[in-house]
Formats: sequence, structure tokens, C-alpha cells
Amino acid sequence: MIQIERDIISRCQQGEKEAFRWVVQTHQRMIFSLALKMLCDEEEAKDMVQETFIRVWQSIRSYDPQKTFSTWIYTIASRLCIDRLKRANRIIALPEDELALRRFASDNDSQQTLENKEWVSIVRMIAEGLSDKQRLVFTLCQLEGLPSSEVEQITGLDAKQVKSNLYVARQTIRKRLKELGYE
Amino acid sequence: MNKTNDILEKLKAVEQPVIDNPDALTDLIMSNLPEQDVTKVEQPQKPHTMLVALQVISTMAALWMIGLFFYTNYIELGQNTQQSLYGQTIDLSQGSTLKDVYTSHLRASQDKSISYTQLKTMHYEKK
Repeated sequence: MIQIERDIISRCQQGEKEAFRWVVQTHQRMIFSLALKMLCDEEEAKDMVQETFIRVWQSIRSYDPQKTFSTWIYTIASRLCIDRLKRANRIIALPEDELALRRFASDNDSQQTLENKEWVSIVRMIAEGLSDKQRLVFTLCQLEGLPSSEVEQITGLDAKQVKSNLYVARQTIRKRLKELGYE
Repeated sequence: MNKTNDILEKLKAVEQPVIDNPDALTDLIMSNLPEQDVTKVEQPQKPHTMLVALQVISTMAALWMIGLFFYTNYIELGQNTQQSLYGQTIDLSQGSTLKDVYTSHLRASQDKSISYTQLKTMHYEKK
């Protein structure tokens, strides 16, 4: 952890709200990205970001500086995402989602960008049918590109469980894409 | 590389989702921050020694009472069993067949159930 981050966290732990603004600004995009892919709803993702930072603020005194700060925030966000998924209805792909996926798959531009609603459509299309745990592991490993060791810390799963959840998720997605004629 | 892997790799490389108005979201979060709870979390206090002693004594007393209850019941049960066993013994020396033994047992039971008035009558009849 860099010194500046350590100082800011220490100030937050003393209750300094302005220091916490830096924490929010630095990490909100990362949490939004996870929330959007997990919940497949932009407004709900923003809500989740807000809830996550309120939790972070409330429990920042219990943060152990030995751990990576972003991993700790990811852990809180992941738990909140899972809680929301349990409460919400199952995420089901919409007819227009397939179009977004086809457009993305056929585009060979290496500098391709996606709008949030396109991200939602593609994830909703490929991750339909995954369990909450598989969805979380898949999002963290595959879509967020986090290393396996960090995913283990965030999810509380061991290496074997992370590997098996990711394997099942990939197999399910492969099967789904095959049905849609992508293989 | 197959199409699934292609799509997944492309998704990894593509720019991550962005918040349309990040400053507004930051302000919203900051304005909704609650006050941090500055009070220390109270450590659970150790129970008072007197309370522990009382708990031990009451537990022992309860165990002793339960033991006593079972012991007295056991003694009473033993006595009753003995009495009922003695009262219902069939004398196998009465007669040579099972019928004889049973008949003599019934007679003996009838004899036992003779009332005081019957005994008195029998006594006077003898006289």
C-alpha cells in the first residue's frame, strides 16, 4: 500500500469525511463496474456503490492495513451484490440482448468500447443461468480480470472452489453460446 | 481459439463500464454518510464471582435433588415388585398336573380375599 493511501485511510479512521472523498473518488468506478455486471441494472448498480461506501465508512476502523484496501472494498461490495441478487428476481436475458451480443462478437475492432447498456445486455445474455456464486467468481476473474488469489480473499472461497466455480460458469456460458450458434 | 474464448477475451480487453456523472455520485455518497460510531465496542464483562458460585451451587443442588428423586423411586419400586412377586407366587408343589397347580393357586387367592366378616362366621361355625 502506498504511503498516501495509508495516510488517507488513517485520517478516515479518525472520522475525517473529506479524506473519505478521495477513497470514494478512487474506488467508485471499480465498484460500479462490478455492481453493473453482477446486477445488470445501472440504477441498482449506483445504489449498490452508495451502499458499499456507506458500509466502508462505517467499518473503516476495523480495516486491517495488512490487507489490500481495494480487496477489502471488493469484499464488502461482493457481499452486498450477493445479498441483492438473493432478494431480486432471477436475471433473465431480453430479446434485444442477443442483438448487442451479436454486434459485439462480430466487431473486430481492437479499440472497441461498450456503453453501459451494452455491457448489461452482453452480461445478461452470457451469464444467464449461473448461480450467484458462479456469477460472482466469473465476474471477478473473467470480467474484472482479478488474480485468483485476490478472488479467494474477496469471496472467502479456497483455490479449488474458485477454480471449480469458474469452470462450471465457463462451461455453462460455452453451452449457452453454442445454443445461440457461436461455436 | 473458439468463439466463446474469443468473446470472453474481448470482454476482458474492452474498457470497463463508466459512471455517467461520477462527481454527482461522489457528492451523493458524501452527503449520505452517517456519523461514525466513535463509542468503543464494550467488551463483554466477566460474570461476577458470586454469581458463578451461586450457579455452581444451584446446579449441584438440582443434580442432588434429581438423584434423590430417582433413588427414592427405585427403592419404592423394588419394594412393590418384591411384594407383588411374593403375592403372586404359584406353588408348584400343589398337584401333579398344570390344572391342579392352577386350581390350587385360584383357591389360595380366594382364601386370601376372604373378608373379616367371613372369617368371623367361619370362626363361629367351627365353635
